[in-house]
Amino acid sequence: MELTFLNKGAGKNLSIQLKVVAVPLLSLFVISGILFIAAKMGISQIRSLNASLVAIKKEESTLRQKEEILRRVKDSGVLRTDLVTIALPNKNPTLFLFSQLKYLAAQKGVTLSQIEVKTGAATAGLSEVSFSCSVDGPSGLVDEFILSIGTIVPLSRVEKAEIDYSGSTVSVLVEVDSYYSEFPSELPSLLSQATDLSPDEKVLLEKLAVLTQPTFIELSPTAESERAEPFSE
Amino acid sequence: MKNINLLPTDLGPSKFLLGVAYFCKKATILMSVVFFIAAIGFTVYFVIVKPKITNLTVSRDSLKESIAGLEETEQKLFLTKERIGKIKSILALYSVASDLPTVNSLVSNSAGVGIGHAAVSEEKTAVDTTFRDSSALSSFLAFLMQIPGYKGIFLNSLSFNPVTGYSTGFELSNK
Repeated sequence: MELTFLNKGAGKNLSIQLKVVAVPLLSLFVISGILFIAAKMGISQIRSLNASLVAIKKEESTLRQKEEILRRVKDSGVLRTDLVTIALPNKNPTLFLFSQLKYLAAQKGVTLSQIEVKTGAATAGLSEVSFSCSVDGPSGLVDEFILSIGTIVPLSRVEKAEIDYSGSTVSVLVEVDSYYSEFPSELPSLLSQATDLSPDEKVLLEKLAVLTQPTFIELSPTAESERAEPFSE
Repeated sequence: MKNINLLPTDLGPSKFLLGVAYFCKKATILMSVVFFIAAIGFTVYFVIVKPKITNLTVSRDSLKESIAGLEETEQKLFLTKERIGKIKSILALYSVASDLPTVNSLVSNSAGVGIGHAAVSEEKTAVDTTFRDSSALSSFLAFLMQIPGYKGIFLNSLSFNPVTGYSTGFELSNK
């Protein structure tokens, strides 16, 4: 048997002591470092995935709900944009209003005179046009005319009335206000929630449908006529 | 070849260091186990969640396309709601037409009373009247008192003419 004598002196004692601890310590530091970095990366990845999952779930749910509402609204046919846009047009409704008041006056048998139109102030997204005129006729018919103003579109209201009972007929100087408002220029974002029409809104649409609508005359294009040859005999 | 340590035992590593080394070894093993378990856990989580996100993304994109196809309906719904909101505010405004029946009742229900002029607005209703005699005036006043809805009734002017009778200016205040 070959013997190796480990008599390397007392100076080597420290190196032995270090050797015993160094390797396990180093391993511990390395694994701690790896674990720390991996945990940090892992946690951040999990957080990011979780955030994506929550966000996409929310988006998907919002879009699903919106699609369902839009489909239901489309199939129900309750949307009457024509009604609401005539009731509250996007442009000055003076001509519509004038036409409607003339139609009403003819229907009730009263006469309109001293017609004046003024543009009023805009408030809360609504612009106002003020139409004043004198209404003459028998008392009952004039009253009917004034009460009927609330039943026409564009929506109008009687702001003031000065009634003169001195003659044989009644003469009323009325000031009728009508409104218009520009259409919204932007649609809400795709991811915004859509809400169906509430029962109140549906009732209002039904009320608008029974109001007196202005009559539009659509002129059809005339057919092309054959031109006579001017030089033929 | 066998190594034989001929050094005295007190020259060997101390018990404390051996303890530290032992602890470090055990801690290293434990951390390695934790690391592997965490790695497996993360992989499992990733394998479960990633396809979920992919499926949801596909579903979301398809819904977006479907909603784009319903854009006209969306525009109509948005416009209708916007108009209805404003229409409600218009309908909530006061209209003189609602006070007209009251003025008419003044004219029709009062005997011996002549109404010359009436001005109706949101704030007030002003009526110029003539009365044949004082009894007509008092019965008109009694009638005025019965009309609901007015906050105040003011007699702004009162004059008497032996030929025409009493002339008055009333103001019925809404506010």
